[in-house]
Amino acid sequence: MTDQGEPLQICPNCGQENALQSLKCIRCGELLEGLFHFDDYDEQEGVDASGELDNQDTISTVLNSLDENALLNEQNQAASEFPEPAEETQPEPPAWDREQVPDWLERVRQRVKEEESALSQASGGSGAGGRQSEDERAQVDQAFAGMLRRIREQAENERKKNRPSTENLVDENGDPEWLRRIRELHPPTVEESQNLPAKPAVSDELDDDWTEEELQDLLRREIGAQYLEEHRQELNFPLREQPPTEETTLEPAAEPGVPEDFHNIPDDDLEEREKPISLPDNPLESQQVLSDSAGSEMPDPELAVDPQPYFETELSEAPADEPDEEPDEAADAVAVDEAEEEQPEGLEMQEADGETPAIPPILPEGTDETQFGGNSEEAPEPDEDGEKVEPEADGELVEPDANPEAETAEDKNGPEKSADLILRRDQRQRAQTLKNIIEQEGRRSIAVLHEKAPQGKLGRLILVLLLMIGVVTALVLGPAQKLELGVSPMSSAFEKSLGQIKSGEHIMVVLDYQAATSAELESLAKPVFTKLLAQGAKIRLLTSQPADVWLAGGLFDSDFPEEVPKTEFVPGGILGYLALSAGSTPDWGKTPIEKAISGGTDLLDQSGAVLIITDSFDFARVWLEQVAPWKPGLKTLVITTAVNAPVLQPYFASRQLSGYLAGAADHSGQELNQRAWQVGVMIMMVVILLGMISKADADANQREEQRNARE
Amino acid sequence: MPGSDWLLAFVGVVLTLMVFCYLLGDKLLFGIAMYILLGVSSGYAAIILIKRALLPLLIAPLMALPKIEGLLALIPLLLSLLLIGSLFRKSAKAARVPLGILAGILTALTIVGVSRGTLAPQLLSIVDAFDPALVVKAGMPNWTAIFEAFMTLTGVIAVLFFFHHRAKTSGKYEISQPWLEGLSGVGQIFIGITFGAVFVGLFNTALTALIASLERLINFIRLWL
Repeated sequence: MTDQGEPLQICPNCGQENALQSLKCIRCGELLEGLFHFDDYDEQEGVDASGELDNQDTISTVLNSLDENALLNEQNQAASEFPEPAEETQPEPPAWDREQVPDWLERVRQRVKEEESALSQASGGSGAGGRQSEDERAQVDQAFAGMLRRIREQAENERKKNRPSTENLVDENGDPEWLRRIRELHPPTVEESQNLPAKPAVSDELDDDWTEEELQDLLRREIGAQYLEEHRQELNFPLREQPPTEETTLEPAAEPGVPEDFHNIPDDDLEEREKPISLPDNPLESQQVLSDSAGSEMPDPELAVDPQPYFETELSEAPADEPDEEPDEAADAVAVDEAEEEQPEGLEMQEADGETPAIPPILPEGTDETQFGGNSEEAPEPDEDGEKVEPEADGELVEPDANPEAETAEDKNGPEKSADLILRRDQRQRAQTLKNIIEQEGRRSIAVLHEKAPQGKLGRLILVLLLMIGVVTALVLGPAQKLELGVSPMSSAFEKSLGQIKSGEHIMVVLDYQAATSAELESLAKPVFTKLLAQGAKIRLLTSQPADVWLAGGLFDSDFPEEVPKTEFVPGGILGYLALSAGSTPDWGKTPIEKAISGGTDLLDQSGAVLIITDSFDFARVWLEQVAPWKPGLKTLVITTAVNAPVLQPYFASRQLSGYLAGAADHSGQELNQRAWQVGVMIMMVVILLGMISKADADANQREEQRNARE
Repeated sequence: MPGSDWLLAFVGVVLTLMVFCYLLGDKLLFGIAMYILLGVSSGYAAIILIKRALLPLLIAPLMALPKIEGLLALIPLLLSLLLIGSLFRKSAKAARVPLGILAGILTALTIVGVSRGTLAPQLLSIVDAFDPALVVKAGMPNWTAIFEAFMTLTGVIAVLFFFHHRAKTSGKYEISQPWLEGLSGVGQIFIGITFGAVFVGLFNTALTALIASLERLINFIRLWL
């Protein structure tokens, strides 16, 4: 788990080597305070000087040492005159702390004393000086807390830089990271190691593939007992003396044995362990209680396997003069014994976040909440990913308003904890936003301006069926009078112009249509060509569409295939026609396009009329715009589809067109069943009228709604 | 019927069924039929263009070099080569020369053609509607011709105002004069009548074709009954 080149720190309790960034011993769970290192302080020297104390070099010691200086002592004296809230009371540092202080701390104290004496001389030692001393102490505390914060941030940054990625690390045996941690938490005894048979490497690899149930069983079996060991070691942890409080209770976890949200990550465990919103104000009491509970007086065997008992202390109700009182260890022991005996009823289960079980708070020696400014909340612990994880003071931290105790703790810990709260609130809002986004997935978030009602195909189907049924019924009823549709002026003019073509006169037919409309156009063109051929006219077919070269054969009646002329291809589209109409033969010879088309530029001059067969209005319009003006005396006739009839009418009115046939309605030889035609037209008229009525009704309703909306 | 006709009929039936498969949701056979259509059409068009355009208009004149006819054929050849340059990135700019010449010619022709072939004749047609020879018949006013002339003029002006009003309202400002709104509404009516006439012509054609087809079908069925 720990890299070879990484510096190690030795657990003061069991001697286990741990990584420098580890906050907890991987063997015994002892808190490691190697996080805070002072560059100008030699840890080994401090240890040697103390001889017995393990945590001499901790920041807690530094803080406690500051408490015993004259400045703080004077403040304590002033506190008797000016009672302070319980949160701001300072306990008396332990005697052993005064006796064993390092040299550097002595220098700090000496300097503080010098500053204090200077301040005392300046203030004159009046009663107001007590308040000033208090303010000065607050400033000192604030400055010191800022220094600690900077040191801590620097150490954390260095640790983040130096900390390698521990994910998916597999050692030489193929053991993953989580399995090695479990093994380190529960090292095999000598007997077990001797009794274990030698297993091949393959079995070791197979052991890595543990299921969730196996892991849970392993953790429940091993960590349960291990947890008691951790508590015993923690109970021996020296805590700050503080008079007992009656509100101190010992609470067991809801489920003895395995915690609900258990994991095998020591760092995360430490994170949960540092949720001391229920930190007792009286560390000595806690120490005594823990010592008793961890000792031979553990009465309840369930408590021995209970991994998460913890102490709850209502901080707001702590007496103000408690720090000045000498702890009554006997009374504490009795109180704790009573609390332990009343565990099932008296102990309250408190879970962080409502899910995470609480962990008994471990307060390092000499740690002063007031001085440390809520050290446990301030000290962010990195998670597995190395990210900063804000320790939760309690489960209600995310909802601080719901818990007055949390508010009290917040007020006591100052603005730093408030910043944590703000951060958590922000995180929660972002989580809620993300949740809302996920919930809105696939839903319309922007209102549609013109939302159309879904139009099903049922209406069209009904209309088609109605029309079909009506027409078929009219046809089935029997032969009716043949309908002769009225001849339009355009069609009449077309017939008239066609009749004026004399025998032997050339008719130039220009083709420009697609195969999709060939059926409609061919039905119109066939009678025309038949009539022209009957009149003895000479037909010339021209086209600029390659497909029309092949489609032109369908324009003529198949009964006279020998009369079908050859279709000539005019390259260049309308430009080619323009070259034939506007061009002239140069002196040096014929142009290429004149050679390509028989007749050349005289082609239009030789023709008595031009018949355009097209399905495009644009082609007819362009012809009338580009080609026809060059030959003013040339008649232009058009055969086109019914859609183009209205747009061609202005050209007929301006006499640019001599006539045109548009659609089957202008078919001269068309004979229809009059009854069927009337039924079809009637059905369509009814449908159109109903559509107009419904549309008018819908518009009226819409206007009414808009009027109501405006009002 | 000759064998080729039977073969063509069989191919036609198969292709028709392949197109009908689209109605059943099968896009593979429909796609194959469409690809066949596109391929045949493109190939046929390519053959027509090579045989009737490129060879007689571009290649054949080059055989006349160094005559002036051959020299003139070099111009379209050069423009064609420049147009081929559009297929390559480095010579893509060279293709702008023939395309620019072509666009310029078409633009000039369009402007001249629209002015001479559409605007002028249409305006003259409107003016001719008020020709005294038309509105006066036998010394008496021909009210039908007069009404038709005024309706034509009103329709033209109203439709022009409708498009003018529509262009303005789509911008930043609007026309507030009520008479312009009313004239625009009249133009909208004329446009509606025009589209109605288009729909009637289309429906009339479709109904005629439907009746003819159904009549043939019913007569065919009656033969077997």
